[in-house]
Amino acid sequence: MGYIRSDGWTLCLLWPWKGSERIVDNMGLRRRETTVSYLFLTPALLCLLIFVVLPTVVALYLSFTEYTILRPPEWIGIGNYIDVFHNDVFIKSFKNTLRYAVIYVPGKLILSLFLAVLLNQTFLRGRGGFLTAYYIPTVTSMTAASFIWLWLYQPDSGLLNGLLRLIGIGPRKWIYSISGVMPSVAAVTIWKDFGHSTVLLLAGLQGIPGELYEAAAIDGANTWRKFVHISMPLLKPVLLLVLLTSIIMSFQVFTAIYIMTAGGPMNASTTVVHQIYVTAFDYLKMGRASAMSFVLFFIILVFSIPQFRLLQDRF
Amino acid sequence: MRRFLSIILIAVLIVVPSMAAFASEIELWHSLMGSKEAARLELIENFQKAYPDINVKDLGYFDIHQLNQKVLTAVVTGIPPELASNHYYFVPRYAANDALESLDSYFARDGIDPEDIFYSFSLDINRYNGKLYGIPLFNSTRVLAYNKDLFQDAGLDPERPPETWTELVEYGKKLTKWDGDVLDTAGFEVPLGKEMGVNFFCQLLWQKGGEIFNADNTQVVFNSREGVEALQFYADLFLKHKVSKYGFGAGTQGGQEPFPRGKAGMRMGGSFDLVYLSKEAPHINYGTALLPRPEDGEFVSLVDSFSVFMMDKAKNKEDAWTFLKYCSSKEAQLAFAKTSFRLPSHMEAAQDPYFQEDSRLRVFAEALANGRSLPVIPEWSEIEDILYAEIEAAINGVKTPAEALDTAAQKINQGVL
Repeated sequence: MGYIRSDGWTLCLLWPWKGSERIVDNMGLRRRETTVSYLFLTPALLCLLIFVVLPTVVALYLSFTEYTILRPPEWIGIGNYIDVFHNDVFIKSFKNTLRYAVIYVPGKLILSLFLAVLLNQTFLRGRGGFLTAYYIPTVTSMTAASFIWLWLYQPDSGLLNGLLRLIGIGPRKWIYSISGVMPSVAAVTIWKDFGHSTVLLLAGLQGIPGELYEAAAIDGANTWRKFVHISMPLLKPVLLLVLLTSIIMSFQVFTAIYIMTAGGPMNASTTVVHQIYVTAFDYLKMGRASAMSFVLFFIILVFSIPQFRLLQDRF
Repeated sequence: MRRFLSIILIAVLIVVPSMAAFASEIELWHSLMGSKEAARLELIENFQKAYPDINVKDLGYFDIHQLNQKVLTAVVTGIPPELASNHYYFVPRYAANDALESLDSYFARDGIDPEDIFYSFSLDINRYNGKLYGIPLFNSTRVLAYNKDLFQDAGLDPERPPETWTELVEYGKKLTKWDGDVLDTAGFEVPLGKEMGVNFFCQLLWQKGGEIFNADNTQVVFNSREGVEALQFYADLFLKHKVSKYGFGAGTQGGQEPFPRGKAGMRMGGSFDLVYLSKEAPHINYGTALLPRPEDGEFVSLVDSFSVFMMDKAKNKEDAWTFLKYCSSKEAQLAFAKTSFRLPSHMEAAQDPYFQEDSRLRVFAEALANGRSLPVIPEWSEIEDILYAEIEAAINGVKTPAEALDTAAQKINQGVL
């Protein structure tokens, strides 16, 4: 892993860039290199500008207006923001999203770490087969998967309750109960995403030199101590990456909810992004939806800044 | 020689495409898929036969929300299709924002009075602020569908479906089968999901004589005594009489639903359900009847439909109007209804003996006599969301019907309207 040269926000995203510290005393070569670099960067920067920066700025403007798409936007100042903070369904959706994040993030992390450690064992055969199997959910369409899970979760004719019945356990309500819906949705998204983080964590584990473990064994360390004092510290960068991306993903959960629960029952599973979608495309209140988006943006920002600092401090 | 050939080639390349421009074209974007697909294909085919120099290019979407987004984008960029057809959720919004072409002047010009042709409630769904914006393609109404075999097994007369709420509960209890904690067969499969749940509540409310809105559609008034009684009946089906369970049948579609699988004695059915039943579960021996009314109430049927409307900024309005006029004709309405198991919105077409011959369809036709359509308000989708969340609270015993309706009314009257 290389340095993060932060002369530009974009470069932070290209962080596996190796050794950009160059000592060049030939000014001409340096100038040519700089020009060529900018030239290569231009297409990506242009895309970023047109498809990310510009819509964001327009959305910021729209958040101060009333806009139904079919009519030009009407300026209403901070009216949308005031409504947003009084909208109890939106506030509930934040609580739901937090509840979801608290289940999804640790659940996925622990599962992936556990599997990565297992897959890292030297005696294991067919590692590739396991990884493929774990990764398949990640590459399936979330929409298609949600429909299948709808059937799995069906209380009376679904597979899960059917299997439980075979071993004598009564039927569970899954996504049809207020308390069970968020854990059930989290189960679906963890199933979808754990393959990706397992692959990353395994790569991290395999990057740890074997000699360290041997040295520790000579000093009398058992498996647990090896794990805690060697694997975990050296895995921290990857762990932090997985943690950060999982937290951001947990705020963005949408498809599973849109298809399986429609935010119910009784708004117990509506999340912030789901509310934004419904407000924008069902109710056609684009201005209010933009305001909601910016509130979400600031909250994610608040979460992300300390974590970015943590990541950078490693170096 | 080569030069001569290239000139001919260029000439052909220029002339041929421009010839195509002489055949006029109209575009129709719609969501007439699934149970309406065959009927739609037939409609367009017959229209092309009658008017061979108008080319209809149609684009279909399964998802009404996707179609809505496409239409919105097209309207904003100024190049909408000539015609569009979508769920009744969207017409008021387009109309309220001047995206639709009013059809009153076209009818007047051709000397036709739409009131002479269509049922008044079919026209009501397509009116906004007194102006007519769409042509209803069919009528879809709600009836009681019941499984005659299950009736017989439970000792009930298969030719004597329930007529009142009391009878519905009585029959429902006899038909319900529980397997310990698991509901095996529901006596009356109560509709789930925002649209059907609210539809069912509105039916019950109207049957009791209550109203959703006040006279000028500015406030909701469903938290009246009639509304509370209606919601109480709805909730009792789950909580007191236990003829169904919250979540029963949820997540299933079409032929997977409990009724086509013989796991429900009765259900509220729409025309679309008939299509699935005949296609995917023809072995189910079912009958139809009007939805039972309360002892102290009337028979009422909720009617809805999809309509075709003309976009305001369309290029080829004259040919679009020709298509709309064709859709209003008796033959087109009759054909569409027959193929899609719906009923025509065209009054004369609906009197056709075809609908009286089939004993199941006859009930749909009968239901039209007490037809009522939902209010035409752009905010209806948001109102449904709020109302359904409260209905769920009542049917799960979390709130009393009175509390639920009062909360919903307050949120809607203050937040939405």
